[in-house]
Amino acid sequence: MLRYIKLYWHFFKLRVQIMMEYRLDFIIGILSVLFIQGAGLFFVNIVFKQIQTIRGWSFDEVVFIYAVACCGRAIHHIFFDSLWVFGRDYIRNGGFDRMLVRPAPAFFQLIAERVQQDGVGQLLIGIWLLSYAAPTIGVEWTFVSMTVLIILILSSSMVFIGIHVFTCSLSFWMTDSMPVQWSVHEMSDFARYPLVIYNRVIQSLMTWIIPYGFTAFYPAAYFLRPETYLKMGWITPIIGFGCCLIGAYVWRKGVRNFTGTGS
Amino acid sequence: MVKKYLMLAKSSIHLDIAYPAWYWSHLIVTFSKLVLMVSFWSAVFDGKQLINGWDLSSLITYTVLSMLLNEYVNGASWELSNLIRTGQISVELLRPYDLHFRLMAQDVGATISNMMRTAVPLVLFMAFVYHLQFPVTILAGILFLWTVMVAIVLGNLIDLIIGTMAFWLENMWGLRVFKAALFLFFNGALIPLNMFPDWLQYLCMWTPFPSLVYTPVGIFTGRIVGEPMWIACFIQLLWVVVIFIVLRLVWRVALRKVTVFGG
Repeated sequence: MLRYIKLYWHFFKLRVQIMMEYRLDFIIGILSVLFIQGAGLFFVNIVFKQIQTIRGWSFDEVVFIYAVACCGRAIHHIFFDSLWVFGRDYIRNGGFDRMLVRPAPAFFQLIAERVQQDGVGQLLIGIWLLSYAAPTIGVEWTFVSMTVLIILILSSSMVFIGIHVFTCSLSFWMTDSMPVQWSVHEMSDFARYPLVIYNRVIQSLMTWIIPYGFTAFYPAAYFLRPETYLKMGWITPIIGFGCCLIGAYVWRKGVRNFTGTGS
Repeated sequence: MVKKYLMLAKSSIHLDIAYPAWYWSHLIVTFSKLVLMVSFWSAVFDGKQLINGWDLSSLITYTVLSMLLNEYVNGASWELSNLIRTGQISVELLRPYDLHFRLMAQDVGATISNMMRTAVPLVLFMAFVYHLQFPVTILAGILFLWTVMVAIVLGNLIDLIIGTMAFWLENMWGLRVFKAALFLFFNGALIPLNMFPDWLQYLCMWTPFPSLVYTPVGIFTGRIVGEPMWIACFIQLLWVVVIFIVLRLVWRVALRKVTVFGG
């Protein structure tokens, strides 16, 4: 374990050095994510100028849901970004064959190879929004509530990661699964708003089939409406673990199944 | 003279059809985004008759058309930046066509093909399920088609400027995300521009973004009528000229860099 932490740290330092080489790019990456999140929020803000609540949820509550989504998403974005290009940059050109003969698990090598600085902007905006929204909706910052919040955010990112590892592993069979990864990932946008605004089909899809509901709405609702969503809050970590287990299972199956493209 | 660009446009239609995985994922993602926005607006109205002068039906029509159009007002920045990054640009410059026109011709070809296969079926489906409105007048319908065409050209030109930035930047992903966010927000695809606060509407008027989406769809839904309609069409054309000149100027400065590097 310690060996992998050291190894990751080593890779991490390399990445930071690269980032410092391209300073303008670093700034653009962070600004772009900041801007896109800001635009989404501004949109919600304009809409809430016209109405008080959306199906009973206030502006500050929607911001809180948004904030949880931002944080969970950011962790996934910063540390697991190489999953996106796995098919294109590793399977297709045979780079993965090389990984298999190195003395570390292939998945570790893949993850360690990239740190995506652009996600940092997202994490910052998420934390800032949390600190803005929490007092206005009566969430008290105690040691317990902080710990629960951190656990829920980590679970949220585990849902993101698990689902992404699953769709990414499909590359073992279809060479480049990026279209599938993308279309599944985009579904996570649904979870940024209270799920109650959608019809039942979408609600159960987001809860039980592609459980992105647990990346933002359910963890946030645990704080906002504990009467109704207490259970959903509690099972969020279980869903997070479950997603990662399924992702890992499919990844292993893929590796065993892998024969290379012959390139 | 024009014929070679037409042939290029046609060839990209074949290319567009050659990637079914991307086609289906694009279709699914676009569809789910439409459903998301329609659900969102329906929840916002929740029995209200009018919000900011919009009724639900015309707002849904606006949302569906503007989100779809937003998908098509971009261009070949990806190809251009790849040419620049790989150095292939030096070969491209020797070829017997204008590189900008070639990239645009190909992109317009792909756009038309993709519109027929994605946007048209989606509009028909949404029209059937959500009862979209017809254009307010026949003139509005004709002008809508015309302004859509101009908007696609304008979007292409802006995108080529973005692509040219690859001469100076490594992180094209960040820049493209930034551009996408800028577009989505200021061209009116996310929210009709007349819902913006006054100062922001005023600010938008000085950018080319409203010409990309708000002008065509505003005309279609009867938000821009009479004299302002003709002015909006004129401004759109004016932006095409302005952006084209900017593109050529930026390009000329950038090409000096090619000679400095010795191609």
